[in-house]
Amino acid sequence: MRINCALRPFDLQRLVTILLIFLLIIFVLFPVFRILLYPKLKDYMIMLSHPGSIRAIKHSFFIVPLSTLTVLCLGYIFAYAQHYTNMPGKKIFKFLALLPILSPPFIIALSWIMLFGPHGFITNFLGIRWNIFGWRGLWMVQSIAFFPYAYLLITGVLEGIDSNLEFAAGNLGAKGLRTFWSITLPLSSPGLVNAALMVAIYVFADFGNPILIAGGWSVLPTEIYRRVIGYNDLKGAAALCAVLLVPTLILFLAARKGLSSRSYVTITGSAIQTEKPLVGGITKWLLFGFCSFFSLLILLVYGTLAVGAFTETWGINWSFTLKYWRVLRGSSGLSNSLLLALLAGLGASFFSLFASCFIYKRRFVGKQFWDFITLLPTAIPGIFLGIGFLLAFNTPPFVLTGGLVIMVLSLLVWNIPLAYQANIAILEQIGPEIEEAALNLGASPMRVFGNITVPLLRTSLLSSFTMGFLRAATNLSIIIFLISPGRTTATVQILASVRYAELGIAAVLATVLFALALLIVGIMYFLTKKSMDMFVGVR
Amino acid sequence: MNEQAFIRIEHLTKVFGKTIAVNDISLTGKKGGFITLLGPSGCGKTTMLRMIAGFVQPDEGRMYIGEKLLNELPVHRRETAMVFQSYALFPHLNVFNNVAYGLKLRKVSRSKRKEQVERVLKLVELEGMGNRQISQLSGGQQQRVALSRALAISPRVLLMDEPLSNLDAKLRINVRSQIRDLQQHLGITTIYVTHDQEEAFSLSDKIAIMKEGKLQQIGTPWEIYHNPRNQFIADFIGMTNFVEVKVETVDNSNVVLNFPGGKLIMFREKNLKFLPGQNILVTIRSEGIRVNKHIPVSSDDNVLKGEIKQHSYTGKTVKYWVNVGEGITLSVESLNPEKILTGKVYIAFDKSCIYPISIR
Amino acid sequence: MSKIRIMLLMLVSLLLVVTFVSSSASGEEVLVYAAFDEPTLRAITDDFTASTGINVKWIQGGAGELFTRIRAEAGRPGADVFLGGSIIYHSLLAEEGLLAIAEAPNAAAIPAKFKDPEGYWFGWYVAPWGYVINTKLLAKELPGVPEPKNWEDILDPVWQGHVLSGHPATCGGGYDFIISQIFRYKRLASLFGFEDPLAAGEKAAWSWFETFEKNVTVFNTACPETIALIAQGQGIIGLSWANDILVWIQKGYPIKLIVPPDCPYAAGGLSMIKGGPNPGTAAEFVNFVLSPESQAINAKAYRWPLNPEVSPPEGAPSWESFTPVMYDLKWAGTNKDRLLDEWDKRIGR
Repeated sequence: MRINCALRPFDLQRLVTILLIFLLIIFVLFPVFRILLYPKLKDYMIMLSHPGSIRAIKHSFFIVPLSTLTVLCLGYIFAYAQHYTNMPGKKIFKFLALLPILSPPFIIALSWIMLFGPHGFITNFLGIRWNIFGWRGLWMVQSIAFFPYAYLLITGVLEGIDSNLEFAAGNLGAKGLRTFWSITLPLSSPGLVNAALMVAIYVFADFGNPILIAGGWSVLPTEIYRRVIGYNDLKGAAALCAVLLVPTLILFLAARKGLSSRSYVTITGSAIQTEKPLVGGITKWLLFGFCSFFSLLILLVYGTLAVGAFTETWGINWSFTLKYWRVLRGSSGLSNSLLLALLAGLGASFFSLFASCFIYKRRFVGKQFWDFITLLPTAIPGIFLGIGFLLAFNTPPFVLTGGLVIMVLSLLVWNIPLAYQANIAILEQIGPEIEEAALNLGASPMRVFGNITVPLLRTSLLSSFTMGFLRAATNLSIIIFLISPGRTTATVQILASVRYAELGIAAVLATVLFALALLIVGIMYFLTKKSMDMFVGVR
Repeated sequence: MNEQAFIRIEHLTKVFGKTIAVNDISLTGKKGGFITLLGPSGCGKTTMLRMIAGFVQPDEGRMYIGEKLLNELPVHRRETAMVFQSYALFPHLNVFNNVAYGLKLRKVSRSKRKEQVERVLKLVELEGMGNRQISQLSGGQQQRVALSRALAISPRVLLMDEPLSNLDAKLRINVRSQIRDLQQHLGITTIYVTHDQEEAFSLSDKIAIMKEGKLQQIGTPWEIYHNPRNQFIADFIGMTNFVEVKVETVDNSNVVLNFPGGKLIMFREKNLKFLPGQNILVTIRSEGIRVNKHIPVSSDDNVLKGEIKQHSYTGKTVKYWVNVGEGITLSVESLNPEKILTGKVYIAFDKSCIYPISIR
Repeated sequence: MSKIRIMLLMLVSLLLVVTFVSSSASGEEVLVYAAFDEPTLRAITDDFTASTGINVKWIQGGAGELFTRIRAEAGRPGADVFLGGSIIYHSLLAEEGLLAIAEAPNAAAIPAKFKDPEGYWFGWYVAPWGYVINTKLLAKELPGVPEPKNWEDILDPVWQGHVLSGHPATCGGGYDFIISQIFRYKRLASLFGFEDPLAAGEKAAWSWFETFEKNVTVFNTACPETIALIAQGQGIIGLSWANDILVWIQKGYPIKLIVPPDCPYAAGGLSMIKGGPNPGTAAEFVNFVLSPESQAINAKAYRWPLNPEVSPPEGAPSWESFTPVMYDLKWAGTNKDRLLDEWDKRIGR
């Protein structure tokens, strides 16, 4: 569909598009190809026959469907309970369900160990012994860490179903969950498939959780990491990265394709129909119980971190101490994390603003392709991107490694798709008429861009900035290869602390990071009166 | 069972936040009847319908079908079948399965289901279309599937929420008469919601006019048309020509009115009282006014001089806006005109064409 | 629009504040790759900063990790000093020409055996590598099984699923362990009159590891991780540095240190990286670390100082009570890549 963006003078418009394409080539295509072409064919062969790699590949393909399934179930149940019941505490559940997005995903692993590990709080409390490491621990932790994304995606799907259909079913005699099984579930299935594909990408690319909790049970990202830091085998690592990219790319393409075809989302005019038929009775209370249980779990996870930040020796010596807070004085990486997050978030929003106006809205040869490239980073696992940037910008003429610049750029690139899609969604809703009207009334193209387009995109700019900020501040997999002394981040420091068994320090950093994230979201809420799920819009 | 009150709505009220969507509405309907809730958008008619269906809980009031109190009943047990404005057809089921949905829930046997579905599809002239996907149907066809789905379960009351508003004008009129035929043939009690005055008048036994949540008037189409109770109703059902007049004299059959353009004679209805000196609002039916270039010879009660300011020719009729002085413009509808008039004219109308609306 | 303006203003000011804060630690600095524990590192560097005003920035990592990184950065190093990790790594780096000579008068006190004659690297403490046992868990899970006293006991299948160790590619001690076993068997081989005792020793060592591997649940990336896991009851017995184990015992966990005879040991190293961004401050830092004061701080973390004037750690066994296996430093360095490849092939995880 054609939307006429603010038409700048012809050459300027073209120039901007070309500039954007140029940037995409350097910072998206170049790193990707650098990784793919870096290993020789024999390196690929070696890696594919190496028992460690084979094991890692097998494990990855095992855990992905498993975790994705539980994540979807959890997310669906939460989303369903939110929309189809009037159980008490819905607002609290909603808030808690979205918390894991605010912190580095591997924090869940850390907290899990503190709670359910052998000297864990709960373990001691209940007096049982269980094995939370290996793939079982990873599965549990990933389910909690990623279900907010499923929750958000599925919420969108459920809201898109015309509630009249569900009322009609009730009207025709369907009671209780019958409506759910015969109408709601089938109608949400295309959206569910899409959600599953997106979640699967997250699980495939997950690095922080497996490295903390899976112990020796390797998955592709951790195997890649070991290749680099243990064996200095960049070629082997790059080969494995390419292997990892295959499934994530396929998932991404499938999701993109699926989104355009069978979709049962209907858009009717009536504003009254945002309500859904409610389900009550036993079902409601079962759902309530379920949500309470998991919400408590989440509270426990974050509470543990907060307590751990003040505990002398977790599991042994519960006395209160402030000594771990000294880490904030020195090389905690916290200020770097904030700086990176700010710059990456702003940069991604800014770039996407122009990309949505000058790539998406324009018609030119290869537009589909460049549109695709702008979205490509979604499919790229963090660890791939990190190594890609490392390889791409390590040698002249592009020497950027060792500085903050490369860290900002890699995080920025990673955040572009989200910002881009947020903008596009709004642009599609508005349509071309508004800008055309402004032009018609005599506004110059510059003025239209500034007075009309940008304010209209206000929501998506803010939301994509917040999301970009949060993601950049909590990332581990991309920047772990790009750090240097004085240029480390809080997330890397947390990992190092856990490895060096300094749980107190890890807990302090995790708590502070989390509190800052809450603060930012709180500020955004205050400024725009929109609740959290508007911001953490995930596509 | 008393023919009178098969459907009984008593003091139904619904508040959304600060807005009173439905304000203490009571009405009754007889079995097999066709009641329409008529009003502009936002008047609360759809809300009322949804309360009867059970999708929304009223804040106050009670609803009865027969002797059954509806309020506590869950949606699926109310035996009210709804036809939605957007049809709400299940996109993942074909036509047959959509229509059979309610039957399946009622555990009707497979063969009986088939029978019933085919029967209702035939009623709406969609026989043989059972296998089609919803997306393959036209708007009119979808509407009929929605109708047959509702009819298939033999509901006690049929609820229809502006079912024709998504159809184009010509189709609307066709389907409208089909609905009327079907309803009378089957004898199903129906509550219908619309904002279209013509639709309401052509379909209903009884019309309830609503405005901003309140019931304005309830009666047969004839009653409402000839005795609109206030200006809103009169305006809504298409009347124009509202004039403020002063009562001069009153006798058994006539009321003489003073208005800026002269004197008018109005037919006096038996039960209405008028006092000399009263200021009242009257309406003059535009289709009752005759317009002529020359003074009419027949003894009309009311003759006025005026000048045509504008006209609107639709082929079948021509509508004139005639300025009769003192800033008063009357609209006149002339059926099957021989030619289009302009300039100075005389308009004439019988005293039965004036209705009193309200005392000012 | 005004809300957007406020937002932008806030963001910009936040940016400025953060930039200011992060660069306010301006002035001189020295960048360190530290295969070292944070508390001791912080104590030493705080001292350094207090007395010289130079800021120290570091990243922690396993010795193998950091070694790999320095190698990978050859020519454009991201740090000035490599602190900690066995001298095997430092000596190898010197061989590869990646280190610079540091002028360090304090090095005079270090015995010649433990420092590079040309001054490229210095050992400054030693520590043995031994067992850490969770006695409580042992009694609970394997009642009646005695604590291992030597290197053969641990191969018993009864320990299967209860043992943790460090991965030789990343955890320096893991590699030292390999070297130590090789040279321990080499000594036995030469006693038995083998023709090529070193080759025989290596073969026997691999055989040992392949049996050992069956009992191990995971080879951790970092050496101290093993201790943490054992302490928290995630395994009954593990192998790690004695000094770290002693630190953990102090925290109150139910663990015990056992250093068998013929134990691996390592001298902890320190060197200046060639081409680092701050050579001046680097040399100063290296010298400081070698000072008796710093070594005394280090001794508090149960590392045995190489400077004879510094008192050994209190509350720890004396160095003489250990019988470490001696090895050829150069051989250990030059064969590292090959041995790690062997590990990859034979053990694979």
